[in-house]
Amino acid sequence: MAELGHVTLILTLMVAAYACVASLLGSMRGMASLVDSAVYGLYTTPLLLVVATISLIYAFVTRDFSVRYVAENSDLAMPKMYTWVAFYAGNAGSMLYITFILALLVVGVLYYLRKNLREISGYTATILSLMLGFFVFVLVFYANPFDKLPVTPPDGQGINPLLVHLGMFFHPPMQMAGLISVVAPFSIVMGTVMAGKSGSDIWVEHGRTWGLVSWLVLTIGLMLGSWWAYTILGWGGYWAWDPVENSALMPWLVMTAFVHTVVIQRQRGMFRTWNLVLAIMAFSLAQVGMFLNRGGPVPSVHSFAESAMGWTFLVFMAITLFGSVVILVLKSSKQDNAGKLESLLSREAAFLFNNLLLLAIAFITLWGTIFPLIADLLNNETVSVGPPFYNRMNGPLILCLLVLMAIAPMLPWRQARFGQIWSMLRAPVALALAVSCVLVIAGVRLPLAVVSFGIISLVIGSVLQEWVRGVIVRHQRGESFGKAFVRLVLSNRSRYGGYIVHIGIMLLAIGATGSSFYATQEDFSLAPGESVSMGNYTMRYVSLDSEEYGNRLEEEALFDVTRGGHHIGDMKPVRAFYPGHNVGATKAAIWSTPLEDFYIVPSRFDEDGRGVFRVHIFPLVWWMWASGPVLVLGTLVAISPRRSAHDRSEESQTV
Amino acid sequence: MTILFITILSTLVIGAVLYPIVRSSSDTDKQDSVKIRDKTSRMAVDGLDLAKLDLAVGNLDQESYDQLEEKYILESGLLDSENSSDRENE
Repeated sequence: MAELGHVTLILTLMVAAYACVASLLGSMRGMASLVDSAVYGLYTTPLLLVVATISLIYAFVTRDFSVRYVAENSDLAMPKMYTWVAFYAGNAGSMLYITFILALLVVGVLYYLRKNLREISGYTATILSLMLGFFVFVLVFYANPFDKLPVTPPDGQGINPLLVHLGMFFHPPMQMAGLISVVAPFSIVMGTVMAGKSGSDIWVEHGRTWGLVSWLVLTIGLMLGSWWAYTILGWGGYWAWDPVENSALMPWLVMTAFVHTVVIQRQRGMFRTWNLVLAIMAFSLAQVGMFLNRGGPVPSVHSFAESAMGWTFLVFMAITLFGSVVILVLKSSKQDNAGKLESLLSREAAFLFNNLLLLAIAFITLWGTIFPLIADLLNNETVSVGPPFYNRMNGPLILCLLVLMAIAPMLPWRQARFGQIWSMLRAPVALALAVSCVLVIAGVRLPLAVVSFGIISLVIGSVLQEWVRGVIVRHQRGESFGKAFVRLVLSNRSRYGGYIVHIGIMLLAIGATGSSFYATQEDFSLAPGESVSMGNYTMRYVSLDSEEYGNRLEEEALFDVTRGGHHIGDMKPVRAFYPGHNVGATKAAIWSTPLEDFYIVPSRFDEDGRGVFRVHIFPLVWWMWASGPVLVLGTLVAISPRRSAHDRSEESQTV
Repeated sequence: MTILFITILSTLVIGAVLYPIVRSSSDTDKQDSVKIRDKTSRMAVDGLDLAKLDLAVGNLDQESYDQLEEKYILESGLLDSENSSDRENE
């Protein structure tokens, strides 16, 4: 089976190379059949890569340790259910996974474009096949998952213990899919430029749709990553500004900017060149992420083993960035921005500021991420950039961004008057002030926390006001309130889906504010039977249970926890030690409510059962996880295809 | 077994690549392009529909609405003229 997998990779490489040349020639010379031939060839690549994927999974399931990758990432003790995790636990397997997702993306984008925007599909196929070709090239020549060992070992080295967790089934695949999904809007943009259509807005709706798809996958990946860090890594946090976390955040920020300004292009014909640049920038930052993740020189808990592959991605990023800029410059001579920025007090100006803030955050994050590398290269110094830098630099910008989220959607196009803005913002500002006063009266004294909650209330108030105004207008036309609300959202899914996303971001901000400003932490050394209190909580360390498994020793502490005198349940934090890897792993016990999380993580256990525990109370962090489904829902509403007026009129005629 | 699989996959790929080149020319592409234009035209109508809602809700002033209306009507008009020039060429 390993041989079959290897041959299908070579076959995929040949198809991608052919498709790249054929689609380019076909597009340049107007030979539709040649473009079709390239596209049909690309349509077969997911099938080829499915065969390669099944071949590798088969090697894992049958414990074929003659395959190097299987021997390095599994052993006989590994439960079969973790085969999927082991599949992408190393460099080569994760590359195969990414390439397979890319092939699916290639088919999805091309099928979609040939239905909706055929005139750019040829050049888009060129870009997509170039990307696919590069990834398969790396697989075949740098990270072949089907490489054989000269001698078959009796057992493998085993999977990384940190990956043996349910969260690992979802977080890495989504994160990797998110990074590669940025190729979709990039290919549409470059296809448009190469087809000489960059001066028009024909691509905007489709670029936005695929931009949102990419944004959604990146968002889910980031959320799952934070949840995994919080529940499993046991360091008592959800975001550490780790280089690989940053590498997913940067394209997410630029994609956020992109999905906002394409709306302006659609409505006002503005920011045409800017949107093209944003798509290229997001793609380049995703490539930087690949560089960091693939054995790049910046240390991270997420990185795969050090290898030359990271540098291959950096070179590829440099080439694609240079090529994109050259094509953009050569083909953009006829660029024409139809609309002009008439006033700084307008919706389009607010969107521009939003973009500048998002880009500033992205580049501060990029600087913090690559600074250790620059310091190492220039001064031979080992420097690390930690959370204080990012919090100090990005914190104020994020607050400004939140304020813009409240104001921008309420501003009219072209030009606004102060009186007009005030009449729109009166109610949300009143709500924000009321919430701030209530918080101060309730004992919240930190000025930044009060400001933060005030701004969150402002945004939520402005979104609610928008909904209320829209519903009232429809109600006055004779619709019931319920029907008016549903029809309002469905009538402009882009805008109202966006508002749902804004609500989701605010829930996230509530969690981040509460847990950043009011988290408490204490360490306790306890013997079985001892009790200790923290805040309103009292926890009694009941017992320690040790059990040996094939590859690890697991110690589970049992706590009886009460809050305000009421029993809330048993909590069981776990610490495991993997002698084969000489690695320890913890699993926090968390009692979670919308008000606060009570969080116990074991640091170590002595032979007599005495344990050292770190205990945290995180206020409001529950809202952070609640924001995930809201963000997904809002994005799905914004992406969902809208029935056309034509369809509706036909439907009403039929009825 | 492996060789059989590889032969089947290779045949499939070669078939997919050659099919568009050897198939007899049909009017599928023309039909597709008409569909796409029709869809783009509907999108312009939808845009106009949304602009009307914006005007009613108060997110759009009359001047901006007029500008948008002109833009969408122009889009539809351009598409119509493209369609008619295509028909003339045929």
